[in-house]
Amino acid sequence: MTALSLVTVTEAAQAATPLTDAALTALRNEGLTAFTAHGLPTRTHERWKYTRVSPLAEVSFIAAPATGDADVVRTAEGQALDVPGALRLVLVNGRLRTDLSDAAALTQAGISVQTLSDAIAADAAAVRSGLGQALALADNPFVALNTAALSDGLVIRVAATTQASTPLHLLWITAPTAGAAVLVQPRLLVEIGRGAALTLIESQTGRDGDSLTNRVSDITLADDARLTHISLHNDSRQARLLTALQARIQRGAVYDGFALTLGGALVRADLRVELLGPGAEARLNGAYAAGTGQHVDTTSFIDHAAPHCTSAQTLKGVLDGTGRGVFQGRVNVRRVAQKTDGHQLHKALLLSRGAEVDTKPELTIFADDVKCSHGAATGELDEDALFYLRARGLDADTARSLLIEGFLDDVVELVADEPLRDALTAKIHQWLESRS
Amino acid sequence: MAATDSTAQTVKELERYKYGFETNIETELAPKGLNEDIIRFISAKKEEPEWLLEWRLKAYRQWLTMTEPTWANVHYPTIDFQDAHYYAAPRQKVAPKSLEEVDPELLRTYEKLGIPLREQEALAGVAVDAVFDSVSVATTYKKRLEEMGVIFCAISEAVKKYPDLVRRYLGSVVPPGDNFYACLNSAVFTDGSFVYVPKGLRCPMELSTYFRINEKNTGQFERTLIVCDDGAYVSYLEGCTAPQRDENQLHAAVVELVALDDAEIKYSTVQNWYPGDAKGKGGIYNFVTKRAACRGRNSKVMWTQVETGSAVTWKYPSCILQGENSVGEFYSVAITNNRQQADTGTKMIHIGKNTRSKIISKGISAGYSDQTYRGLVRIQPGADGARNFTQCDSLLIGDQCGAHTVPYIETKNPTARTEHEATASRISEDQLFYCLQRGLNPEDAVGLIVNGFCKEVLQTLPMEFAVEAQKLVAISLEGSVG
Repeated sequence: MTALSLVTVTEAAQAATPLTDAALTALRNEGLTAFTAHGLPTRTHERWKYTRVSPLAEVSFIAAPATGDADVVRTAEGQALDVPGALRLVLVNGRLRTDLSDAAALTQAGISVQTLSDAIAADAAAVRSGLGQALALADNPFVALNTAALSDGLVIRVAATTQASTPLHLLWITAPTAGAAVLVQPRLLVEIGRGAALTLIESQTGRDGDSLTNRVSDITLADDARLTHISLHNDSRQARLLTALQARIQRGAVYDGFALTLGGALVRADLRVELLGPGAEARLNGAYAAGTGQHVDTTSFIDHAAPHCTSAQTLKGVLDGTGRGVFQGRVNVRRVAQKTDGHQLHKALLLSRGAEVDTKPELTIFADDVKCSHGAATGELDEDALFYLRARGLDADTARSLLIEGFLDDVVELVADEPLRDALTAKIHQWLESRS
Repeated sequence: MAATDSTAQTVKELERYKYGFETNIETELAPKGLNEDIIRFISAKKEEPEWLLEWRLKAYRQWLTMTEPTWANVHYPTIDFQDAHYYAAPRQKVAPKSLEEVDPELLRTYEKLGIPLREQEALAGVAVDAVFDSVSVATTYKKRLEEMGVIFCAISEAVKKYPDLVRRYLGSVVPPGDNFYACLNSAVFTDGSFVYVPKGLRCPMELSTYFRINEKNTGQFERTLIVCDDGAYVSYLEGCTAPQRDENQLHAAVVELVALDDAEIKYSTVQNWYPGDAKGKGGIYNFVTKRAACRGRNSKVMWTQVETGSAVTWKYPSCILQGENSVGEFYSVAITNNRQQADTGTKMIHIGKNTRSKIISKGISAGYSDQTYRGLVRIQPGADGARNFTQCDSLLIGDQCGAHTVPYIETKNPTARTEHEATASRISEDQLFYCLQRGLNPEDAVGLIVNGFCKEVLQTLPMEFAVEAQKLVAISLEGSVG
């Protein structure tokens, strides 16, 4: 297979997986047109000011091959979150591997799990509506590219009032092949019905090798629905991961998200959350660590489009070596969104010279009866605290690790569910041990 | 009922901008348009040396290659740079030597603005270098300052008298090619102030310039350069009002401050230019580049601004903290009402070790106005032990206005510490109720609360300005509540 540019690979993917539905085919073409017209974003694009993706133009890609390899899971398990009791679905290069997944995950009452292609075959119109009207292809070229390649992925639908008792764990595995970078572009659709609740866990993992994963998730929460969404990005050190999340939250619904990023050369998370009905709530918390050669970017847009909505975002990052962290968060309060409560906080800890963090929290407010705030702080480990620990006989490394752990644990505390919290803390500890 | 009546009355009064008059003085105008000949004309009028003309022409040629910035959150019709006069001078045969020689019409203008020049001499030791459109008309207290070694004069005069100083520092903080408007200013600047405070001297009085834009269709391009030598201190005041007119006017000033070792510069601005009428017609476009270089060790620069006027404001007074232990401070109150737009903030570039910066920004939006705080804090890799604290608070009055906060914080040194806080809210019902209950009318109550909200900034202003600024805060918001 010859290596090609992003566009050519995507075009080839389109050709290889023709869609029978005219509307979706048109949407794909729209995506391709938008990406071709826009090209790769450069640093003159405000949203990409601190993250350089132009080198992707120099990379040779190949479409991610399907693999029947059962071994892939073994390495992935070490990287993924360990949540006992969760029902696991394994996706290798964006394709569901039923042979590696928990059969029970596919047969729960009130919860339908389908591959994207099955869902399209069953009801293309439903998939089309799930892809979201808010989808601004011109806004994010990578969402456009993903849309152009639409075929791999998963559709999860939770019927109204269903309270899923067991968490669903999506284990995304990127399996690179030698020679060229694999391009994986899966799409995830999640629809939580009225009054229903689900806990969704995602672990992005991968084997060593050159790759670009461009994953887009569309999440819809109907009135009073609830989604607890925990994601871990712990790919290999060569992996590039671009994720985009588009969530639409209706009246009284709660989206409770937490993202932990530890692995990957380039990790960019684009979060777009729309609060569409009174009483809707979004939490977008997270933590990240970046060492030498790593670049972690979280760019979020929270749109308060209805009154009486709440949003909260706390993000903490640790930068080591030449690691670089970026946080761009925008909270938009529309004219109608009176009584909005919106808070945002980013804190970064710089452990070494060469590390860098760039922060841009942004408030755009068009309503007057609101309470909005944001905060940002950067600094190094507290000398006094270090001294205190050293005076008690801890060696320098242990003392530092303890303080870093304390810094990150603080934000993990925001996860209400204890097993999930433990799983996240375990990953942070694993990362701390690997660095010392 | 009474409150509503008084509001209606105030609104009516506000429709006529208090300072909206024109002084009828014959003015000498350069022809409309901008080209190399106009620049040569300006330079010749100013009797400038060859090097400055070359400098202007170089800037002009560079300007031709630049495009207008569009990133700010402000909207206005495209400016036709060829449709303005770039030079206007009050026609006077001989340069005035004292106040007695100044055109009495001009003096009356200032009197209406509440800056009686004659009284200035007697008042509080304030020396005024009054700029009327483009030519300095009178400089008071010049002699006394001269005796002490302080140079405080029009920049055109400084070019002639102190060419070495001007040549050394002009454009050293804001290079001609810095941005579109600064570049335009470099090509066509007509006047402004020059201040040099010699080593070890604490300038005993506040230096002050009042700007006026008077002639129709003249963009005003001021250029101010303040140099504070080792261990010196100066406090500089800048205040503005402008006559009412329908055509939008462009103002693109450049202010450069240089602080050497242990020097301190305090630069305060009260900007009250014509903001346009309630429908957004007319008003000044205020596109200003202000920057300070803290070159020396332990140098300090403090910017304070109270921005209530202008239809469109685009202004980011900045500090380059180069010297070790240097300090940059920025205190700002910006009030926008009706259809005003303001995109303002600061930049703090930390280069030297143990540099410190503090940013306190208070934004008040009312009516249909839109306001953005845009700030940058950059910690360079060498800035060990740098500290920054930023606080941006926005107050929204009415449900049709907008308040936005766009801070950029870039840290490349682990030993640096930065903190940023921002809030947005409206006037608390409880505070308002408390004031009303004690018999204040709604407007006085809002004025009081807003003044409290801005207190942290207002109290950094020199006394004379603080009083004026407090009144201005209340006046600017009249008609926005009730």
